[in-house]
Amino acid sequence: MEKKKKTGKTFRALTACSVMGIVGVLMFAGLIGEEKTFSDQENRTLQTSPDITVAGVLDGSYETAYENYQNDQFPFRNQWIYLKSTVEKMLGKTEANGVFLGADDYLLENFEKQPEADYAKTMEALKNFSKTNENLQQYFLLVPNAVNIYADRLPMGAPVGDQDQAMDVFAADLTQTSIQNVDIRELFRDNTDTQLYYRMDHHWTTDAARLAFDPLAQSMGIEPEKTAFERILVSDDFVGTLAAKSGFHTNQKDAIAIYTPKDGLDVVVTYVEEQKKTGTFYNKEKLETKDQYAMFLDGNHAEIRIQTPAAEDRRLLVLKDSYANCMIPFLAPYYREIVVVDPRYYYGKLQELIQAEEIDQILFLYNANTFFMDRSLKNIK
Amino acid sequence: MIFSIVFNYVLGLDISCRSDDTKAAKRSLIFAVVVNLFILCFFKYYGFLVDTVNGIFRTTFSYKALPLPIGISFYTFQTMSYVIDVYKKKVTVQENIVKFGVYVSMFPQLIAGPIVRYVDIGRQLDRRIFSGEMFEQGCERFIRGLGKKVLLANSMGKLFETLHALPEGQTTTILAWLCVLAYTFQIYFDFSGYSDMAMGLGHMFGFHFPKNFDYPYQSKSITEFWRRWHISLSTWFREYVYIPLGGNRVSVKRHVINLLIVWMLTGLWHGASWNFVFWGMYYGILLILEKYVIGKYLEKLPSWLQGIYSIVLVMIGWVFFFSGTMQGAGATLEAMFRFDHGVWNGHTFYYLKENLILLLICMLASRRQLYVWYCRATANSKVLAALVHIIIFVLCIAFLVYDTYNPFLYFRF
Repeated sequence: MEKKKKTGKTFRALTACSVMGIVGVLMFAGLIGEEKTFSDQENRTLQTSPDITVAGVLDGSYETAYENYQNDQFPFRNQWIYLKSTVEKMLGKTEANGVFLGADDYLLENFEKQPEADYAKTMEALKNFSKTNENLQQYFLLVPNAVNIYADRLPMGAPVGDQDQAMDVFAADLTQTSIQNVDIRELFRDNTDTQLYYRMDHHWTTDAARLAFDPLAQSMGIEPEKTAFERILVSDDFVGTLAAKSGFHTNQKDAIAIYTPKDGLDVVVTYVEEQKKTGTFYNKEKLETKDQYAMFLDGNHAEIRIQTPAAEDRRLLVLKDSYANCMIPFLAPYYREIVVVDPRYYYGKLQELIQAEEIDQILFLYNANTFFMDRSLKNIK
Repeated sequence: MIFSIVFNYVLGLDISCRSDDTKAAKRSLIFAVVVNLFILCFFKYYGFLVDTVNGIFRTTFSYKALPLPIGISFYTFQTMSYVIDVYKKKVTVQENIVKFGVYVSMFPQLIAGPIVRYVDIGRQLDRRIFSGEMFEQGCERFIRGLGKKVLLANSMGKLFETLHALPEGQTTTILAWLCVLAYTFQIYFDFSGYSDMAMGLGHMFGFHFPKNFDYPYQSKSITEFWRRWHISLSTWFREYVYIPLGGNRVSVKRHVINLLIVWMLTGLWHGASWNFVFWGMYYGILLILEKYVIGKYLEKLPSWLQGIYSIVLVMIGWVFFFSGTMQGAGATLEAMFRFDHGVWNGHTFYYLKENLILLLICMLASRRQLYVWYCRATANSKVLAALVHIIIFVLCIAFLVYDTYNPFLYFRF
């Protein structure tokens, strides 16, 4: 009898005790836990314990830093985030942070467009640029994204931007320049058997690049059949940026393939700003990190030069975003030199570069999501 | 606020000293009320007044927006309730300034209410009962409030913001209603969640605050809605404005005017701009209509229809509340009652499907029935009750941590 009464009493404060227990455990874990400096999940450095200074307290920067520190170092942070996205998924949510969870476990990033005025400036800059370089052959490969090509995988009625329409407008605008448009949308739509995009990442697959290489080569006057490529799998556990951006977890992992010429090809890849030289397009160390796609051309660099022993003395300038990184190896056998420039990081003078390197052809290679958001092409000269 | 505490404390003493001399006490009371209102007006309505004057006379006085002292609307009303009740001899004067200071600045309800009248809590300041059981109950109430705020109000708030930002052409009739519904839930769970947290914290330390919300969305008339919504505020206005004006024991004409005054002030209390005034008047007129015109017909309707009547009018009321301007309110109302932009489309399906479960949870949580079920289920099992609260608490942490989830979006693509 007495025992029963006693348990009754403990139970009466069960909620309060449990909650204080949880708070206690969290505080304790926060005290003994090791400070983390980088979040793989979020791909950013985390705030570490800020130093207290009089000036910092007065201008409020210490308080902000301290708050961020508390947030970033919250015990079991990733597990809490995992819990929340699981609950959201149970509630039937199929969108987080602009990423949709589509059929077949595809994550599809929404299409957003920059303001009309910015787009007009970009087109104006492109027009002037193409005029300056009239004597060179210029091409534009604008790669559609999964949200466009895999639209049927989107949740029903999902409110997405109309990328296809924006690309139509762009194609029409490009006819006013001397840049030749390479449109691969139909080709991609017809090739439903190939996995064109990574499920968990915003990039296209190397298979998709291989597919797009044929019409691109045809436009550029090179013969795609001349080089036989061999497909090699280099990873089967790629979980990319879209998984991180959305916080959606599926059990899917992607495979990464590379294509190398069967007869081999000796290349010298120079990262100009970093003053680094290697003999390969691939940095396999990146396969050990979260962002495995960075294995292609070591991620993004302002300027990369690729020299090959190609017979013909043709020189190509590629102005691009990261979608080009897995396409360059297909182009390499046909050019003695390829200069790869990412306008977002490049601050040199393009015309001087074109003169000095005796460039014959210029290729713009962007994915539509980046192109319609990017503002760096506005300043191209 | 310190000024407020000292000032009202002294005047409380003053009024009680002069309680024999009615005239002198009255003078002190008027002085106290005027000063309190002046402080409130100065901080809260200064900019609004200047704007209005500029608008009417086409002048261009400029003003610097004053920082609003935290909780000023709430604690001014609290101190006023105290001096008025001392004057009316409803309460005995508080001679201990520390205790008075505790009453005014009590942190749990300082920011978002409830407005605790001195009558309700005066005695507890002197004789406070503090027990483990109360601590437990307070803790549970706090967690339920936290859950309402973090899990429901914040989610509904996000839905509201998304839908409210949709371009006009994409807003179908149903989406416009969904948008207002999201706000309807957001403001209820936000406000009642804060109230619950305040009451829970108060309870943990041995204070009983009066109830502030009583499932307002299951009301069957607007009159009933205001008996269940923000009870502490409506009580305050009833006690200190409506009844002194004569209440309902006056001629019909006078009664109508009384109601309009009360509701204009209620609107103005919520914020210093015209849409709040309009929102208050909207309710004033509805209450008058219910009292004198449609009330008798309303009673004859089946109860589910009465429920729909009330919630629809309340939702329309919120449109005035959340729109910063009358034009904004007009645009939203137009979207709700026009059909030429389509009633239904693919996006409508998407947003409904995406939020269906959450909306159902909100609907359930805003009715008493859920609490009744909960009480029945946990009557014999304390463990189950604790489990429910622990789950809510853990989910709240997850939701709060997720808000700081900030993936570096410009992955160097």
